[in-house]
Amino acid sequence: MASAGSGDEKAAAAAMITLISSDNEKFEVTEATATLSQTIRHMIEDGCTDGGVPLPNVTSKILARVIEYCKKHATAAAGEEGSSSSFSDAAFLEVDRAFLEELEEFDDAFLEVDRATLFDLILAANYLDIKGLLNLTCQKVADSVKGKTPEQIREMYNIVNDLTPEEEAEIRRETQWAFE
Amino acid sequence: MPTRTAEEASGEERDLLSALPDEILQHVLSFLPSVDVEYRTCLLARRWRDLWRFTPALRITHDSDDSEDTNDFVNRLLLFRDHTSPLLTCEIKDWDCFDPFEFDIPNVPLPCRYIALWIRYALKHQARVLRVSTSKGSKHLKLDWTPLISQHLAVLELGGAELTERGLDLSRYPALTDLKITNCLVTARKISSQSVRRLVANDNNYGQGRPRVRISIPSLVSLQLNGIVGLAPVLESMPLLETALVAPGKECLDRCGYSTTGNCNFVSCKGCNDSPDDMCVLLSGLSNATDLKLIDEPNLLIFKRDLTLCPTFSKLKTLLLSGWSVSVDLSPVVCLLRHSPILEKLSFRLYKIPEQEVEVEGSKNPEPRYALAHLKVVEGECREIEESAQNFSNFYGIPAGLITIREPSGSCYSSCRRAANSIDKEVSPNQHPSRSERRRQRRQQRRLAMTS
Repeated sequence: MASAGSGDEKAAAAAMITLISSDNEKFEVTEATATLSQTIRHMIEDGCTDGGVPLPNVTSKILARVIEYCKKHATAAAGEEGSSSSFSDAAFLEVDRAFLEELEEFDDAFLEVDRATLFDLILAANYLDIKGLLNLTCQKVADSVKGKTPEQIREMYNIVNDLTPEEEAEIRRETQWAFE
Repeated sequence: MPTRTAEEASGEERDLLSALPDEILQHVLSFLPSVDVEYRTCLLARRWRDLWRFTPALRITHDSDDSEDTNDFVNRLLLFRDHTSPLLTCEIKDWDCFDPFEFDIPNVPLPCRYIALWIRYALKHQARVLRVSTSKGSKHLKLDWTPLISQHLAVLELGGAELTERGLDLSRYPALTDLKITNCLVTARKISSQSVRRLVANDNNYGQGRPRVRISIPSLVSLQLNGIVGLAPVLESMPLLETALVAPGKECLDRCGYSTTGNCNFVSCKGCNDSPDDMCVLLSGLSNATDLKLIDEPNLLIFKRDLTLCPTFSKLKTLLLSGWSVSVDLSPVVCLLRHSPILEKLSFRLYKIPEQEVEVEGSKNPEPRYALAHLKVVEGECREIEESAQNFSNFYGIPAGLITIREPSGSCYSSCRRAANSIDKEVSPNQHPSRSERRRQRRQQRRLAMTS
């Protein structure tokens, strides 16, 4: 991945971190990439990363994808210090539009996964505390249900409706005017 | 994550959404418009019934066909939601601040009368992100109440609001780091904060009255001031400033159509007659920037006038000039370069003003050559003025080999080339703004622009 170059070069002299997936696969990543995860950042700060960081909740398949995301976003997030929120529109400087578009294209392509993978990525992002990835994946799920009727959402996600007809009628009554 | 059998792996059969823990499900819901959360997802199944009461976001888009519907909805939502749950994001969008009195409809209440209340609710419930905007063509939303003190608010975005002295008291948000104001009417005389690090101020009206509006944010690291309606605001000292883009634009009143020096003597000229202030308006505050983009316009006086009181840009490494009318008078640009001792990269786009419209003033005599010892890259784009580009080079004493001039094209600053030249040999290779270095800078800027 060409775009990960600068981040990797910069940190080449710095420490490498070994991440170990639930199925015992090892991944060598730079500290800059790994610390996009607040969970790992805290482990590094506590000095408990010698001999690798076991991640029993993340499979090698998902971890590989997560690392791909982190490499791409590593420099962008460097020094963010937890305050991930900023402006809603990305058009901060026109001159940088090309780069922003490239990053957005990456994110879009990154999300082209089957639903099971998407949800595994959500769980992994949550466990590893990678705010950007969690936002990206949760936004994707939110977009998929936006504007849909309850019936459509149930069908889409195989949600079993365990509300009794009376309960459902009651909820509808409470919010009745929205359906008029 | 448990291992799955092959047929389960597709996720098509299992209810993956409901398998998420509450905390993540709430995060998903927080991206949805509040209307969807309350009216649709609550009907999915029993577990979903009350989730909306804990959702940490309020996202409302105004339905201009029936304001009271929207008002009822939000009031009801805020009344029945769980009051111990934080409301981290509050987004009130596209509000039409229609005033019935103006249309002689006296018995209709103001549609936007609850917004202040909702904002107070959000600030009371630990909001980190607050976005309020009016719809296109709406009256300005008057923010004229004293805001609550909030230790949590980090991002404030206001669109189409009237910012009064009271409403814009940012000292009440000590954790505020990102401020964005667009299409606002600034009636406060000062925008001041000790904590804001990034400011985007686009297309705001700063009025025509004096003294000028002052922007006093010493903590600022990046600034975008794009589109000034009325008189340009005074930028006060910003010692931490790194990047700034300043493009006053066509509606900035600091302009003159007759003279290039701001003393045309025409009574009707607002730009010249209304400028007795012997002070640097924009450039002094920008003097600590390392990366500066200054977008000039024909007839615009503000930069040229500031340059007569030119500050030194002691940290400036990258400078982009666009729209500077070098064919008439090169001295402002020369002055700028002379006061940028460690400049490494200069990018420019030059424009020529039709000469018959402008009285040519100022000296055309070449200034003595001066040292730009650190300058390594000069790239430019010239429109219809090949000879001016040559002037440009001769005039500034920049070795011709350093300059790359390209044919005009749409957007091309990011694809610059580094010109080979003798100066290159004197500096170590890692000092060049290489492709990876530029990428790093752009990533940093992306970080600034990244959404929450």
